[in-house]
Amino acid sequence: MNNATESALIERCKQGDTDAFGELVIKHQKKVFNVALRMLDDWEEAKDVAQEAFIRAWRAIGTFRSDSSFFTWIYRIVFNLSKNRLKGWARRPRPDSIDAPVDTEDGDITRTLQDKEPSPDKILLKKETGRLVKNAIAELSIKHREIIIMRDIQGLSYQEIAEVIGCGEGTVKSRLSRARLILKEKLKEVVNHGL
Amino acid sequence: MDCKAAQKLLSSYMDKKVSEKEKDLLELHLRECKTCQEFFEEFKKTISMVESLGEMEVPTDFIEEIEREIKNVPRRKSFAERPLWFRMPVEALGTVLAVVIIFVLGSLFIRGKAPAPGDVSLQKDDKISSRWMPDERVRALPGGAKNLSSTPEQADELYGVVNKIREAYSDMGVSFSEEEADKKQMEREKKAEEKAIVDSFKQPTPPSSWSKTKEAPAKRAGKVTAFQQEPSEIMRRYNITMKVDDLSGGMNELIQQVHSHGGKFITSPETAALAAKTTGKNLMLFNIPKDDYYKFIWNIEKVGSIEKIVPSGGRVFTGDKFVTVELTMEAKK
Repeated sequence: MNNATESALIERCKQGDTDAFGELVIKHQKKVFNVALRMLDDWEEAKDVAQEAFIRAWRAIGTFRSDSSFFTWIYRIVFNLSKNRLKGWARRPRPDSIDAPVDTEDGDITRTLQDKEPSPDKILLKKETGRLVKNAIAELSIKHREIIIMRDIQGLSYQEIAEVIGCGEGTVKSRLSRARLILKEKLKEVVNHGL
Repeated sequence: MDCKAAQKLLSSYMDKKVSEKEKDLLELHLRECKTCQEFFEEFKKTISMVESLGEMEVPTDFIEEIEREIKNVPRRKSFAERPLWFRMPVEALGTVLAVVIIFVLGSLFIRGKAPAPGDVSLQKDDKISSRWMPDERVRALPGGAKNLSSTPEQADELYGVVNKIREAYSDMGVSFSEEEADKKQMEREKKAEEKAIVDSFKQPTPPSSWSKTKEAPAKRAGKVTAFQQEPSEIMRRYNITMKVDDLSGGMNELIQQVHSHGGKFITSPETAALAAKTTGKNLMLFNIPKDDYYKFIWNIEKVGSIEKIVPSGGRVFTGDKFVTVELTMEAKK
């Protein structure tokens, strides 16, 4: 989908055309869902946040400026929603969090969750390497996590990352370097000795 | 090139984002330094492991649920698309808010001061004009103006505040017309609004839970209280209204950043400083264009004397709704 086509779709959305919006969702849904998934490391929460991002975009499409990129806009929305949810979890553990103890008559016990993820991700989770890498990413600060997701998982260019974050390419370079070095330290054992 | 510098460059080198000179120096170092060669190998393996995570397919019912939602909850019409009768109360809101803010700010630094020789004191029977005539400017202050006494300098300052607020709203496209305001309703609700605004200055708004709860839009202009209910549609479209509390050490940086992002102060820095003498707090209200909000936050973070911004009161538009935040800036020690 080229820019002209996308601009035309956005104009149709502004006139209330839900089918046009559907085309935008189809184009961007995978990236948006995966941003939320890697940020939150939780399938259901990621689905919820990614869907909310599109619904918000639809509601606010009238305010969207045609001189900016829809891709950048929806990325910002989903990153911000993910970050807000993470901050919410930081203030109080989510009710279905693995970390949240279950209150029983015998006192608090640690919850054992059934793996709800569908098969593709379940398969990946079974792989210990994948689990360790995901854990290491989840341990990064939010700003390091988002830049690793954008660059190393989603393959965005430095310029695209700079637009989403709202900074210069120099900042992208230095922040990405720092994030990767931290990640390397976290995964040192796995890299050197395997599993 | 030493090892530390070389290792810092590896990330950009992998992405071919180094200059020719940096590339040559780094490759030379890598050829000679076994430690860095091993480091680089580990580095590449780490990135490769992250890349191998790949992308998951979206859940099967993902798009259907979005479609159901957007067909049930139609897109909000933009301001310009709304009929005139719907827009009128929003414009009236601008007038109501401006008048109330002027009253509160005026009260902050005038009320309670003993009249000095030469003061201009309003008489009991003075009528309050709804026009902003220069020679009537002190009298033009609403409501409690009857109880105010001020020097000509204070009157000048108040009038300056009036103009700044009017300009700020004018920049947002709000045209002021006192005749359009429902004066009777304004009188009825002014008292409650004043109290709410004064309270919002004195007491920090509780931190937002960033919850998914949808906030009910304000139905009538007169019902709107700053930072407690929905701001005007114009603000919703173009601006984020922020309240900054306790800016010790960061005022100049904030002013610079607000201006560099096309922001407009509702409370002027001068008025904020003046209010600080009375309340002991620096309080500033300003608008930042919505699209520039995150750039603004990041730039503020980069300013040397400000360490961080903690979202905690104020109103920030996050996409389709407002959330309450208060920005507290902490000076670096």
